Formats: sequence, structure tokens, C-alpha cells
Amino acid sequence: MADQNTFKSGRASGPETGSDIGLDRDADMALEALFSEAQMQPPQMTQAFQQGLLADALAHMPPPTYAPAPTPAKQGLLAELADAYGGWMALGGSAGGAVFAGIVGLWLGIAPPAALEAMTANLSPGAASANADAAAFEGFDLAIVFQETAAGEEW
Amino acid sequence: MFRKTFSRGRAPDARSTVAPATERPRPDPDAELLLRYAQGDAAAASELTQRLGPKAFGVAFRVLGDRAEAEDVAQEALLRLWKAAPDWDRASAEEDGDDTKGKAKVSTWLYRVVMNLSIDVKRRRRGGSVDLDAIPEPADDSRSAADMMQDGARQEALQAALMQLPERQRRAVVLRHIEGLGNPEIAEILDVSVEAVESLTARGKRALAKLLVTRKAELGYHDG
Repeated sequence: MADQNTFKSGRASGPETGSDIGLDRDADMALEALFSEAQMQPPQMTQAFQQGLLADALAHMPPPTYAPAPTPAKQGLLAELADAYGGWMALGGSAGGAVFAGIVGLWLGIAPPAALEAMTANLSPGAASANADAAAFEGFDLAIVFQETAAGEEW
Repeated sequence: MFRKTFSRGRAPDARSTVAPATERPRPDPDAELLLRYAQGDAAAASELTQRLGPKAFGVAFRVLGDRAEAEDVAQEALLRLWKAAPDWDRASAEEDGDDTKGKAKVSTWLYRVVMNLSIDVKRRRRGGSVDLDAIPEPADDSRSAADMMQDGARQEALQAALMQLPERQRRAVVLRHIEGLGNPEIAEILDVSVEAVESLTARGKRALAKLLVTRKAELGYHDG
């Protein structure tokens, strides 16, 4: 750490030389050699002690400050279908309309209005007429039928 | 061995990071790792342990001369570091109530904790609080430094000689000549002036030479 060898006086200082402290040169060199060996051969820690130090460190370590990624929860069939469709967000815009359309379609199938039933019957030109209303539509103009009905006439 | 209870050492004073006015302090890599540790980064915990564990253990062993005590001190010092990590910026700067002062290097802080804990261990060994430098070192039951040198165990001989130095000289010599720290940082760790560090290391080095001189040949030098 030569960079730290600065005294208050400002002069640089390496290791004291033998002459600085009253040692002869040979004694100083021999001591320096011993010190160098000591630096190269530090006391060795046992492996068990090293592992104990690491265990201490981990035991006292604060928990991570970052939030771990949440584990995805197991999802049901409905959620999986939603995911396949593009997620709930994608479904959101169409869900209301789809449900309404489905209900309306179901109701029309069970109890169709009479006018609608007659119209659908006409869409099949070869089908036999099954009732009087249908027979009337076959021979007259629809507007005349409505007019007569409004006037209370039997037809 | 683990979890031995220590008396509390003095918390390190981190205020006097000495650097020439013209130099910008370099970023402390240990401080950056400690920040990541405080954010829950396990890799940073591992890297810090690998970087700082050997430092804490090594200096404690050199100062105490006992492996088991050195392990206890190193473990306790690192525990204090882990606990200080979430408030490191504040903890390292507000010791004397002034947040505007510079932050200590993590390693400087750790060395200081190790030194303070080592003083506690020494005091417990002796059964009370005394002026460590006022009493002579007890006779070492182990082989003398010279005996070890004769066996060729140079490092053991150095350690034995270090253990015969007065406490403060030993700490200064270990930090200066083995850990390789600069005098200003040592002054911060030992809470003494830079001039006192110079004096302690010089006296310590002379004392070591006297302790080892009886085996000059084994040390590899001869009278000029």
C-alpha cells in the first residue's frame, strides 16, 4: 500500500530501512525477507471455519430488496380459454355484445314472433303451408291483409 | 467454538481517513460488496467472506498466537460487520456524531474491530483490565524463537518472536510489515498518532532483530 505511506509531514515513506531504525543492513534484509514470507504464507483457515463464516454471513443477510417475480397461480378452464382468446382484456369489448346476442338468439328460437315465423316460412318456397295465416300470405298482398285486419274484417 | 460470547470491544472510529488533499479517494470495493450484501445479494456475502475472512483471521492469529482464539475473534468481527451492513454508511461515519466526515474503508473498520476484540481476549486471559504495555510478556512455554529457527521453521520462529514483543509493538509490526498497511491507516486502526506508529514499528523491528539474531545463519544473514 505504497499510496498510503504519506506522513503528516508530507514526505513519502516506504518501509523503514535498517539504518533508519538502527539495524544493520543484513539484519534488516533478513527481517524483510521473513516479513515477505509471512505475507506469502498467511495463516490458513480450516475449511470448516470458512464454511462457518459464510453461514454466519448468509444467516444475517437482509432479505433481497427487489420484489421476486410472482409465481403464476394454477388457472381454471375458463381462464385458459380466455388466455387462448387473447386474455380477459381482449374479451372485455365483445363479451357484453356476445352474451346479449346469444340470449336474443335463444329466445327467438323458443318463441319466435308470429310475423317472423311467417316471414321465415316464406323463405322456403317449396314448403307446404300449414295454417290459414300462411295461406293468406300465399294469395294476397301482405299490405292488404294488414289493412283488413286493422278494419276488423275476417279473412 | 462458534458463538463464543465476547465482551464488547470499542466500536471503531471511522472518521480519520487520511488522504492527501489533492487525491480523490478510490472507491472501496469492499464497501460496494457490503452494499450489495445489505440488499440481499448472496454472491456478495460469499465474496466478502473470502476477501475479509482471511484478513481478520490472519491478523488475529498474528496478534494472539492462538488459532482457536483467532477464530473466535475473526468470527465475532465479521458478525459485527454483517450486522452493521444495512446501516454501513451511517455506522461508519457517525461514530463521533458527524456524518459529514469520510467513511472508513471496510477493511480498516474490520482490522480495528479485530484489534479491539484481541485486546479483550488478552485481558480475559490475564483476568482483568490492565495496562498491557506496563507488564512484561509472560515466559512462553513453547520453544524459543531460536529453537524453532534451528529446525528451519522460519515462520514459526517469526511468530514466536512476535509473541515476545510488547502488545502495541506487535500490533503495529503486524499491521505494517505483514499486512502491509500504511502508517496513517495503522494510526486509525490503533487510535494513535502517525508518529506513534512510526515509533512502535521501529522499536518492534529492532526488538525482533534482537530476538532472532542468535540464529543469523538460519535467517540467512551474516555480520558485515
